[in-house]
Amino acid sequence: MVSEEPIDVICNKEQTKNCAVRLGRVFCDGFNPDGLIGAFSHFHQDHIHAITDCIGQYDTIITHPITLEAITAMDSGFRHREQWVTQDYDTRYHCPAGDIRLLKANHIPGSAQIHVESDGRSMLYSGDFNYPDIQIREADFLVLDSTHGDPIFDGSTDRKSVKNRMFEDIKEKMDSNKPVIVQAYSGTLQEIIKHFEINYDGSKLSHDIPFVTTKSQKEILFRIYKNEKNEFREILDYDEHEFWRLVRGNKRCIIFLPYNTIVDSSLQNYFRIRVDRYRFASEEPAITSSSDGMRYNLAAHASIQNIISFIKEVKPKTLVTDMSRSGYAPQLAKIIHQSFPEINCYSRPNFKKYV
Amino acid sequence: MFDKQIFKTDLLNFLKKSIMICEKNSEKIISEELKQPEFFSNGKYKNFCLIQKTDYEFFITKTIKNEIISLKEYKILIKFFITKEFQNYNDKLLGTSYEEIDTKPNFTNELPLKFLAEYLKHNDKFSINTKIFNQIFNQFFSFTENLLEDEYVTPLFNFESDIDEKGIAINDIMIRKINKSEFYIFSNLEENVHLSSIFHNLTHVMLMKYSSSDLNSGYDKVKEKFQRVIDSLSLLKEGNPRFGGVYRNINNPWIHYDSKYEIDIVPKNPLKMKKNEKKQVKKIYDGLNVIDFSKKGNKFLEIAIKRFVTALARTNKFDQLIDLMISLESLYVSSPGEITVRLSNRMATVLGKADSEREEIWKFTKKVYNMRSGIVHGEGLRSNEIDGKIYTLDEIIQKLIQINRQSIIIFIKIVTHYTSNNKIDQISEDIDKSLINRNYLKEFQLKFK
Repeated sequence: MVSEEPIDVICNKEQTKNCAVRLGRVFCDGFNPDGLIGAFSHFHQDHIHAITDCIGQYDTIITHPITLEAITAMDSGFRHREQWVTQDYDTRYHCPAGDIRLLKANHIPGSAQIHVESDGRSMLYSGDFNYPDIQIREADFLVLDSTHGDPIFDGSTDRKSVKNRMFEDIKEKMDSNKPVIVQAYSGTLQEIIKHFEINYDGSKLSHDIPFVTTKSQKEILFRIYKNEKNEFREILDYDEHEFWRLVRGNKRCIIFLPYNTIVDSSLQNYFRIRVDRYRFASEEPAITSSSDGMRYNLAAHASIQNIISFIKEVKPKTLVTDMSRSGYAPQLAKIIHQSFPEINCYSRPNFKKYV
Repeated sequence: MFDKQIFKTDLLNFLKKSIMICEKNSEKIISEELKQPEFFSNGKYKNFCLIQKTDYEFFITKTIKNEIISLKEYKILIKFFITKEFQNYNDKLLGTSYEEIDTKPNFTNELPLKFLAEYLKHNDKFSINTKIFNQIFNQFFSFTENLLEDEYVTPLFNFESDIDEKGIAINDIMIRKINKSEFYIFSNLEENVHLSSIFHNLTHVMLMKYSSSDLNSGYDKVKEKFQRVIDSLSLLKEGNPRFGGVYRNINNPWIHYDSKYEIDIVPKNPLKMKKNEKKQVKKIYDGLNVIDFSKKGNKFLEIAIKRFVTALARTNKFDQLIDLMISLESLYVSSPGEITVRLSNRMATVLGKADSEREEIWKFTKKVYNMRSGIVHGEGLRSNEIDGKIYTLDEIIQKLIQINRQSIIIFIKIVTHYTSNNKIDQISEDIDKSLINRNYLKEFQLKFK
C-alpha cells in the first residue's frame, strides 16, 4: 500500500523489517517491485539486505563510492553490474526521478543521507546518521531513521577521545602480552583499525603485533581505505592456520570481529572490547567495564537532542519515522511532534499519526 | 548424567565415520616443525629438539568441520550434551559475551571434534585402535563428569627438589616435576632463542583443581592458595621460592588454556626441599590456614608475612633490610614510641633460649634498628659493628631472615591463643610481663612450644 505523501516506508508482502524508503520515485535501502531507481545509504546489513533483488529490478542504483567498494568487497559479483552510479557527497545526479544528491551522514565511512528534488518538492532520507559534522540540505519531506534517539539511552561521547582511550587500553594489554578481541559493527570496525594504524597521534602499536579479522572485513577495509592500503600492516585472516597457531600459544594479537561472527570457544576468555553494541544510558560514561572486558560508546547514531537540532536545520513540513528498522519509531515521532507541532509527523509503515 | 556404555558405543561409531573423512582429506593436514624441550636427569632444561607436529585440531575444527558435523553419528553424539551439567558448562564459556543476544552458540557441540583431534594425535593411522580409544575415552569421560572443574598450574621458580612426576600433596595443592608441554608454554620456547637462567633452573610446578561456574573467579582464589604454599615454603627454610604466571587447563585437551598474572621473576637462591619435608611444609600451611587473615586482629601477622616474603624477593640489600625490619616491627611493636627498646626487649624475650642468647639478640636488634633508621633517613649505612664484631650487610640480612622466619613461625602458633581484635597489644603485654617475671615467661612459652 502506497501513501498519498511522496515519502513512505513500503514493505513487500509479509515483510516487516528493513523495508524500502520511498522518496518520490527513488527507493532507498530496500526493494520495491515497481521501482526503477534505487539508492543505498550505507553498507550495514539492515540497509543492503535487498541488494540482489534491487540489482535484478532497478535500472539505476546510486551509492557513495566507499559503500560500493564495501558492497563489492562482500560480494565481488555485484561490481560487474551496469546499474551502479557512484556519487560523491553533495554532487547532483539528474535522472527522470529528479535530482539526487548524497549528503555526508557521519555514521560509518561512505554513509550518506539521500536527498531527492522532483516536481518542485524536496525529500530527504536520513539513513543512519550522527549530528553534527553532517551535511545539511533543507527538505519538505523527511524520512528519519529511528534506531536511536531514545532519551533514556542517550549517553554522550567524544568519538576521538574514546577511540584514543581504546587504543591506550589495547596497548596496555599488548604490553602484557595478552590477546584482545575488538567487536564492532562493520564500518566502525574499519574506522577503528584505521585509527590505530594511521589517525592515532601518539606512539603506534608495534608492527610485530598481529592484526586479525575475517576475509570480508579485511576486503572492506582495503576497499574503503584503498589510498591508505599501504599504511596498514599485514592482516591475518580469522580462518587461516597462522592465526590459530597464535591462539594455540595464547600469543598477543588484536582480533577485529563484526558482531555477526561467532567467537570460537578457544577465544572465550580473551579480553573483549565491545563497541556500540550496548545502549548507553544518558547518565552512563562513554567507557564502562564488563566482567570480561570493556564497552565503548562511539555513538554512531544521533542523540535525541541532535535529532531535534537536525530537524530544525532541515525544516521539513512532513516527517516520517522508519518503523521497519526500529520499534521505537512511533515514540520518536511523538517526541518530535511535541517539539515541532507544526510538522506533520508519523511513523510508517504503521500509519500512527500524531497530527 | 547419561549411560556411559551407550555413549561410548556412539562415540566409537562417530570416530569410525569421521576417521574416514579425515583420511579422505588428509592432504589438507598441516604439519609444522616445533621445538620440544629436553631435560637433564636432575630435571633441569638441557636443550630442545625439533619435532614434526601435525595440527589435527585446526584440521578437524576448521578445515573439515562442516563435513564432520553433517554426519548422522555426530548429530547423535551431541544429543548427549544437553543435560544441565553441559548447559552449565556452556554458560560458563559464554560468560557475559552473549548477554541480550537471543542466539547463543553451543560450545559443547565442539567436544566430539576435540575428541577426534585428540584421538588422531595419539593414533595418526586413520584406523581404530581400541587401546588408544579406551584410554582417551576414559580421560574424556572423566572430564565430562567434572565439567566445571579447572586445573591451574604455575611454575615454581627458585626451587629445587627430589619430588618426582607423581608429586606430593600439600592439602589440595600439589607440587610435582614439570612436564614437557608445560615447560614449552611457560618458557615460550618456540619464540625464545635463548632462555633466561630462571627457566634453565625450572624443574617443578604447583597445581590445583578448582570448580567454578564462571571463567573469572577461579584465578584469584587459586593465586591466594599458591601464595600460601610459597609463604609456607619460605618459612620452612632458606631460599627464595616464587611462582610465575598461573595457567588454566594447560594439560586439558578438551578446553583451551589461558593464563593470568605474568610475573617477572629474578633468579635467586633456590629453596632446596626434600620430599620428606612435606610434613613440615604441611604443618606450616595448616597453621596459616587456621588463621583468618580477614580479621582485624590478625592483620599484623599478615603484614609481617607479606613483608618477609617480599624481602626475600628483593634485589637491593637496603630494601631487603627495611622490609625485614618492618616485618619484625609488625610482630613486636604495635604503637609508636621507644621502638628500639621495645623491639629489642621483646625479641630477646621471645627468641632467646638462654640469657646469653637473649643478650645477643637484644644487642643485634638495637644495632640493626639503628642501621635501618640510617637508611630510612637518608644517611646510608651507619656503623655495622655489633658488640665489637664487624658484620657484612649480607651477614646481617641473613641473620635477620632467620630471626624473621623464627618469629613468624612462633606468632602463627601464638595468635590462636588470643581472640580479640587487638591481639597484638595483648601479645605485647604478655611478652613484657614475661620479661619481668620468669614464671610468666615459662607459661607464655607454652603457647609456641
